[in-house]
Amino acid sequence: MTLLLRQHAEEQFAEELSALERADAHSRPPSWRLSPWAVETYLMGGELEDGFQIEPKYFGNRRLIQIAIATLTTERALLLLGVPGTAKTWVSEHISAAISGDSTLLIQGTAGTSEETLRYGWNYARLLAEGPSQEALVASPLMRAMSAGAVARVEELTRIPADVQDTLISILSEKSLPVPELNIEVRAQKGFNVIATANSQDRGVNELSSALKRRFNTVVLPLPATAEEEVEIVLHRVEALGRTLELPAEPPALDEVRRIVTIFRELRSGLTADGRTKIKSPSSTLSTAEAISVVSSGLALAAHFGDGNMHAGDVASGLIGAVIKDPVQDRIVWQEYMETVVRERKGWSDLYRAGRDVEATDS
Amino acid sequence: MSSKYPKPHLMGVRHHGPGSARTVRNALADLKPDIVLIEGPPDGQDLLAWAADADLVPPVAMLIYSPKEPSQAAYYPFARFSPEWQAVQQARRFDVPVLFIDLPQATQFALERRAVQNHAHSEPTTPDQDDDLSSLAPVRQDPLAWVAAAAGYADSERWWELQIEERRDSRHLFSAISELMVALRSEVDSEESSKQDAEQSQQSNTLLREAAMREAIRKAYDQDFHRVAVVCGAWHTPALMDLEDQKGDRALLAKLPSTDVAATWVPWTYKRLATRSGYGAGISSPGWYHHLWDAQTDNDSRLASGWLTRIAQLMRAEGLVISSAHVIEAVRLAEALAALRGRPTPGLDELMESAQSVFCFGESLPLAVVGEKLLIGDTLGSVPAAVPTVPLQADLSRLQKSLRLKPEAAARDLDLDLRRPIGLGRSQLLHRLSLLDINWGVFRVEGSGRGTFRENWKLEWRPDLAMSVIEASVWGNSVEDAATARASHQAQAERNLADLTRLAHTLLLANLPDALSAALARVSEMAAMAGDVRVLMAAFPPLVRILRYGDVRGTDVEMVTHVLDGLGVRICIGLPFACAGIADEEAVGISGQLNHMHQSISLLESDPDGRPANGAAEQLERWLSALATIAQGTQTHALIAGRACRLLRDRKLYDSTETARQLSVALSASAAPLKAAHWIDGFLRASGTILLYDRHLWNLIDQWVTNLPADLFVETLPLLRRTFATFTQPERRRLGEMAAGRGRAAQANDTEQQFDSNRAALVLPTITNLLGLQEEEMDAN
Repeated sequence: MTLLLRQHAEEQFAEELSALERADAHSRPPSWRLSPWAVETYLMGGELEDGFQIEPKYFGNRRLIQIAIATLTTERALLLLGVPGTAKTWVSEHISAAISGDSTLLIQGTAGTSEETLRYGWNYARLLAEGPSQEALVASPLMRAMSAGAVARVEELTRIPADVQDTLISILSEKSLPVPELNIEVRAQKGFNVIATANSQDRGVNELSSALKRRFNTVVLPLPATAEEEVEIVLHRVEALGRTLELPAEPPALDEVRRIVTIFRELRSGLTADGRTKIKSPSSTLSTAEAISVVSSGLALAAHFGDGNMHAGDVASGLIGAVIKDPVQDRIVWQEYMETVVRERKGWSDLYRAGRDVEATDS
Repeated sequence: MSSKYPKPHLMGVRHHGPGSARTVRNALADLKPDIVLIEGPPDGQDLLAWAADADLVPPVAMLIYSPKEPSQAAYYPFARFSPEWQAVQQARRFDVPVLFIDLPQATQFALERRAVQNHAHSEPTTPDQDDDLSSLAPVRQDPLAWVAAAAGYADSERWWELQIEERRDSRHLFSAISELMVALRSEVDSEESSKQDAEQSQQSNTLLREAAMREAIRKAYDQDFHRVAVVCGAWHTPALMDLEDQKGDRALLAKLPSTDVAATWVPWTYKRLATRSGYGAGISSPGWYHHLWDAQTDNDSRLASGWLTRIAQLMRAEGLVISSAHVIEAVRLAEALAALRGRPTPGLDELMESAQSVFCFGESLPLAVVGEKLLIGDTLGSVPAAVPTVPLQADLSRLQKSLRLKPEAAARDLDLDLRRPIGLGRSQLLHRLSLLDINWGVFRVEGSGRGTFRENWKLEWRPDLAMSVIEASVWGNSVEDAATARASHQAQAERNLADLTRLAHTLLLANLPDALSAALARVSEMAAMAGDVRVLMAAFPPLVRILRYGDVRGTDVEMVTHVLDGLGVRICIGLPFACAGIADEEAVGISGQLNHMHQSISLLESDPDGRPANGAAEQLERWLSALATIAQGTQTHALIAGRACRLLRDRKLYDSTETARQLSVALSASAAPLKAAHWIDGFLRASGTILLYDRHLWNLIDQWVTNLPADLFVETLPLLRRTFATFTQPERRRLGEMAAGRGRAAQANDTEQQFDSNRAALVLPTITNLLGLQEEEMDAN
């Protein structure tokens, strides 16, 4: 067993990838390790002809994944959009692992990302000693992906300053990266492509120019469509997390998880599960990832301070913390929700009481 | 198999499927039948003559209704791409007779009526307004869609197209469909045999219809037609194959009831053809089918590029920038997607998904903007001027006669006494017509509350109102139904809560309980979304009026109570926040609303019949506790805090000590004088009597004013003056006297200290005499 805290996708699922490669009979685009069909199976899970089980990586709409993969086959760049916690990075990592067998050609977009990070930099000691040469050049992940014909990933594209973003335009349309200092250019091999992710909530930070936008096909990854789907994701991930964190508590009670997911979904959609009553939505995202963290912190509370089983009291404070991000507006929303929905609902009185207790100690 | 009747040429179709339509057209051209039989109501047979008229442009619907009971009606819509329409046109081209062979609608109406009567003791169901397909199990509504889904297709038309392209002889295709249906039906029938009786009555209805169709086919053979083509829903094909059991069918069809029906063509729209409009056999995207029909689909790349170009054009019309390069990329993506999904050509799903991804930056919203125009379209059919009138007009004429209210061109005034049935009936009719935008009468005087039993209308019938009636007829076939449908729709579309509650009030006057419940449901929905407490407070009083006076008119009080309850909760939660940190003008508005709310809630609680409304006590309690929060809230605007305090005092929730405490807190030296003046304004506005009787309060205010430094006094004076100006004349005079008397009272205190008991004693004997008292008694006292 490895001591690494986290493995890359292509390491963790190496076995699955090689099984898929063996079984894959469809035609593969140039430089692709797998055919588009096999990439889809890798993402969505399934059983191979020899009975090998592929674990699903993405729980959700298969059609979206198909659009993403089809985009990459047309040599258009792919932009994954979504609110935080909708598995954008997760999907981009797994797609590039499946297509190129390498998910590490990664550029993390920040407000400080410079043009060198996207293009190339210099090894200055060598530059000074030997003058400009190929050896003194430090290629960016993007440049390496171009020459290898692999998929490069750009995380948080909209966090990158607008002028730096525009560097991508020429790379994506000309598929080449000139190095004027050496009077050469690096030309993209077939198979090169870019998967970018961006957060749709702070889109306004550095809105993409329409010229750059035009180079991307966009797929919006939504929050889970049904409560069952979301419960499944939460349980799946919490169990996986619990294993790495070595939490001693019992596995989370399905009912409690379902309740949290119901609350998240209702507040998010502004409609009760039965579709009868409208409610206000808070300013918080309430993504599945947050539901996962509410459950795992509830588990930790139950394990270390409770009886090992997760009860309403263990999740209440995490829940309220996730919902109330704006102390005034969100509090009204939450109180309305407590009074009009939670209080009335059968079997939820424990949660109502727990919620009231937390709020009483808060204020 | 005996050969009295040969097997007819069955063409199982999908209603409104362009693929089916094309196949039917080609198959009829190949077959050259001598008669075409169509699954359709024989009651509309005469209307088929109009099909040749150039002014009859689809989409149109055959409307069959019962003149006596206009709420019983059935529509049979036809679009250009409906197989039935194409069959009619093709038959006309070959000059062969066309017959509708379904069970007559007249019989179906009579059966429905009987069923309703039989079930009268249980829940009376209103007869189905639409085609009777609407209540069928989903698999029966569109069996081909299920087969297509089983084959992995989301769009059954695509599946259908592909199946056709692979076959040369389309008649074989129809036999394949029949086989498929045989399999599907045996599966479903075995499943359904275990179902409830509602399903079974539906099933027996289907049996009757199929028997009627078989009988009609036999009749065609008996009349010496040889090549008989039958166009029917794919579902029915298995049942129409075998014509042997004539005796059984006759027994089934014997002694069926019937009723009078009338039939006419009405213009239809793609919108009403869409499933979303509630039409049972509807299709999800008439616009797409229209495109499919037009594109002829021999060139599939044209199909994709044509559709995506159309999206691009619609989006440009909405001001969104879409270049030709976008369209090219979208076509490429759609094709790649189709390949990934193993389809030879992109279908609607692939096209829409790639449009969303390439044109719209992954968002669904821009597509939704054009979606309605694109997928449904605003195509409107037309009908020749000579076709008969609509049932709504018939119903209106009937009502005019029974209410003795003749349409007259001359304007006249009409006074209605609502206590008399005819007055009430007329009032309701006029209110309903104005809800339908048939502005025959103009409502002049409205009395509020139940006390008024008079209404005044100005009547004037203009010729163009006849047109309004036809326009309104899309909403329903009787005035009541149409008004209900229209108002419910309006309630759904209404964005302003106060307007909505006003609409609800009109619905109360028009006596449309169904629409009223719809409006109320919408009120509660919007109330949940409204962020502004003032909006909620504006909606509250009209609802209270409905609750108070509604039961006189038979309104569902429970529903109103529920809505009011929700509204009350939200107001009470939100109000304390809404009163903090606001401008003075806003505070004036809110404090006025506070009064209205308070009155409304008191009205709820104090019924003239001496019986408080449901939940009134909880409402009141919640309201008072909200008021207390406001009164004590440190952030609350002073004007509102003062008002809340006053309301609580008037309710005797604050006794005079508590009120005085609140007042002194508000007027304490640390508070800004202007703020204090606001508080006084809120507290005293419109009624100063309290100061006359509560000396303690008077003294506190008096002291505060006296202690104000000169400059601050000047600053607060206008505000105070404004407050006192709202009092009545006598109040002001007495307050003035009290203020003036303050000096004299002080003098009196002085006199008391110099009291001379000897001088006083001098008058005592005289007083004793005057009162007739004995000296001893005086002493004893």
